[in-house]
Amino acid sequence: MSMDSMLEMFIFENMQLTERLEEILIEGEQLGGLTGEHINEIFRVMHTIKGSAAMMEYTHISTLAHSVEDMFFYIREHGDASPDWPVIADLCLESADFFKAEVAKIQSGLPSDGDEGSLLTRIRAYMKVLTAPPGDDAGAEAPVAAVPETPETKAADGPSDAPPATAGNRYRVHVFFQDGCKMENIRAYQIANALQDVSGHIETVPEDLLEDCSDYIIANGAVLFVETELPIDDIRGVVSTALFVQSFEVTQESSNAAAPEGEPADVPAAPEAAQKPPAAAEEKPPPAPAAPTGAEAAPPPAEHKAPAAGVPAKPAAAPVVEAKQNFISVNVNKLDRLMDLVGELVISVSMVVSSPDLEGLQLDNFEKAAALLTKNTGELQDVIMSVRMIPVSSTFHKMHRIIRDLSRKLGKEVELTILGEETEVDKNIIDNLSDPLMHIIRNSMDHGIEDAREDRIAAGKPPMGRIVLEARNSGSDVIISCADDGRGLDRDKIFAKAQRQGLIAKPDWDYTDKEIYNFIMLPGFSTNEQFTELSGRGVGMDVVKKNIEKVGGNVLLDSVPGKGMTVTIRIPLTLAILAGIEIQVGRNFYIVPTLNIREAFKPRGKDIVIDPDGNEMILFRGECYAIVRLHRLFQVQTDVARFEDGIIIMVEDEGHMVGLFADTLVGEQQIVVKPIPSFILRRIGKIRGVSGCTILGDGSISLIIDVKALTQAQ
Amino acid sequence: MDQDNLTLINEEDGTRGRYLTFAVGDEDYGVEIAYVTEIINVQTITELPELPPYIRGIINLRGKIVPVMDVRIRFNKEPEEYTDRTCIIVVDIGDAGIGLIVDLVREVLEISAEQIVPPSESKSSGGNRYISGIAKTGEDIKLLIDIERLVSDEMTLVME
Repeated sequence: MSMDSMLEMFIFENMQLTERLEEILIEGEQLGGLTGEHINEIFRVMHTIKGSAAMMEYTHISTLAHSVEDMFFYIREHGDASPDWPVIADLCLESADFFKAEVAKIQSGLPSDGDEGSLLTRIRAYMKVLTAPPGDDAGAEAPVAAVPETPETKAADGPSDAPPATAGNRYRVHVFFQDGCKMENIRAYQIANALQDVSGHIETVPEDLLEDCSDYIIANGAVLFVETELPIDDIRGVVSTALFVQSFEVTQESSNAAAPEGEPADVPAAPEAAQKPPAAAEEKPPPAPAAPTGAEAAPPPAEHKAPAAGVPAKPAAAPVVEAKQNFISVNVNKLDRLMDLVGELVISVSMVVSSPDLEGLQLDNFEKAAALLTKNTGELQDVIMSVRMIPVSSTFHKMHRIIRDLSRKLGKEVELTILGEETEVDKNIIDNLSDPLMHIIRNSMDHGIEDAREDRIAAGKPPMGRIVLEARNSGSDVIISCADDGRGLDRDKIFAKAQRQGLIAKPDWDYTDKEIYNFIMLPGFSTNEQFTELSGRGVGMDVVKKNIEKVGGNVLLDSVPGKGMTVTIRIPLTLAILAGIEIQVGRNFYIVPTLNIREAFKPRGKDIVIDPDGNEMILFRGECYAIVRLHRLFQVQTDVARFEDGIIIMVEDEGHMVGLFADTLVGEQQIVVKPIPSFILRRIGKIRGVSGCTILGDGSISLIIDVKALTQAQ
Repeated sequence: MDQDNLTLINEEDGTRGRYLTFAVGDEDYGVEIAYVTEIINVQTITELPELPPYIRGIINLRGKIVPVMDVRIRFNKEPEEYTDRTCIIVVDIGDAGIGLIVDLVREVLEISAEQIVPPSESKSSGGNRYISGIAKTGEDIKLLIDIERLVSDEMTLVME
């Protein structure tokens, strides 16, 4: 694994973990406190972040993660401590922000130099509050003695504080690494770290793996002594999943045959017994917090609940198999390549099946086989497409965080409802969705939702603001809408402002409300400071529009004054495949995206209007639209010059319509969009009226008509 | 610049010094074999609007879209109908593949540095500035094309 891919993995993993952390915290906040399972998960997340950051030598991240981990360790071990959840949530979310900022720096090649100091101080300060002996309600079994030890407990290389006597089995793990894998000591350290998760106590030979002892390990292998209740197979499992392991051997050194129930007998005193659970609790499936005592403890999940207060949680002798994530992460480039190849395959298939050599031949068996081949490749293509599709849920759930932060900042209570989060969209599109959504939500929170509860109550609305984020499929598009129940847009003010900016070309009554609302998405519309009430209402809305258009979508605003506003985003499911109508001009073929076509017809002479300047126009549904003669635009020789001999295709983009004049319609095609070679684009910039090209079934190339450019040029 | 190119050619290493020769009009040209990825017959060319006439359009090279340049028109010669002997030499320059349409592909020749003389400086117009050297092979003269320049100089030429 090269440094690059390690770094990539680190970034990817960290982003996922941070996201998960936020999700848990927000979930916990909605429940009014974290459950035992949450605590365990946060603990694991922090542990992993700490480990990987330490390995990559990002000390700022690892230090902070370590201290959060300590905090959760304490909370987990002391179910009776009554943590102040909002404080913890704040600390954790800020830590998450810190991780995100650092990872962003690392990603863009900058050094990770954030200052975790102040957060660290606050976490430590809170730890002090937390660990201060609880007042009167300290239960008899509260293991106060264990408190000072907690911060050290998780340090992988630190001395063990779990008494070895309590361990069930002692295993000797002897590991050899692959030749030339480098940093053998770090690899061994990673294994030790992983084993630490399932066992309380680890000894290693060489003793300090963080020292440079690679040579020793190369020669002799690394030996780890593990004490745990887990069966030997679990240890094997952990070691075998480690990276670069050439071979390993796990042997049982000594067995403490005591059955789990018998253990407390071996343990002299309660404080020590209370230390027992860490080992058990650290195995992957999250069991209950160790000491379920007081009523004030976060309620542990029922199925894990220890039988009785005061008795240490029963060590899970049988490993509970963690619900394995059935996911693998794949480099998107590989998927792109795969997708391209399948596109080629589909084309090659149709080249074979409709080969001109076969014309007029009676080939029953061939036909059958060809039909099967076509069907299978079609299915293959569908599957590959679906591989790239991911649900919008993670993007949607990020919005919880935005809402939470803004609610606090603005002092408005807002509830976010998410609908249709399972809707799937192409990965490329998802990546471009998060920012615009964030903008939209911010806008709604800031300007849509009324400032005061009283205003809402007076308007007959529930005191809590409501934002509904919804995704749904509609044909080959996905529609994402974000509706708030706030004040809505002020048509008159927007109109007045548009007028001042010289955007109004028609009289007031000629504009629909929607048209007017959509003015706020024009660049610079809202930057005017004079408009206090509206100011910022459109901040970023032009950016939203731009971002969405970049992925081939569009944005529409609608609003009912006093009732709220809805932003509707329509985006294609995927960028790679497009439904288009093939048209012919001269001997060239072009594709018009089906999405843009309103109608195609043979024009009658009386529908054609030519103005004194010679501009040709077509009457369509009572209105006049410009005609674009494609043969002229693309400088193509054709015999079809009279409108009556050809065909007019009415295309629309964002309300602008033109008629394209072509020779004939050929048929509908599903096409794989390919860019025009950069060699050509570098030379002439953008080709007017062409947005890309595609290879058709017969191997010929067809140009895709850029309807947007053509309609806007008119 | 030409001097630089010559010194480069003088440092003989493997493929340097091997040229694919082809004919355009009455002249024979050579292009360093290292750039050539394949030679194909002329196939259907899709025209693109707004391009200079010598960029004939794009072709589908096994799923890859490759622009093609008519060297004949590029060197200001009269365009001619394509025949069975017309070939497209696909060259790879950096990330960009481009097809050169030539009248006829001849052979791969070993040309040593001593056989190459620099082109005359005087005629810098037309196609001449894309000639990095003139090679004498027996009776024949081959004009060696500076392919990178031919392709990358495109921009300026369109501007002119």
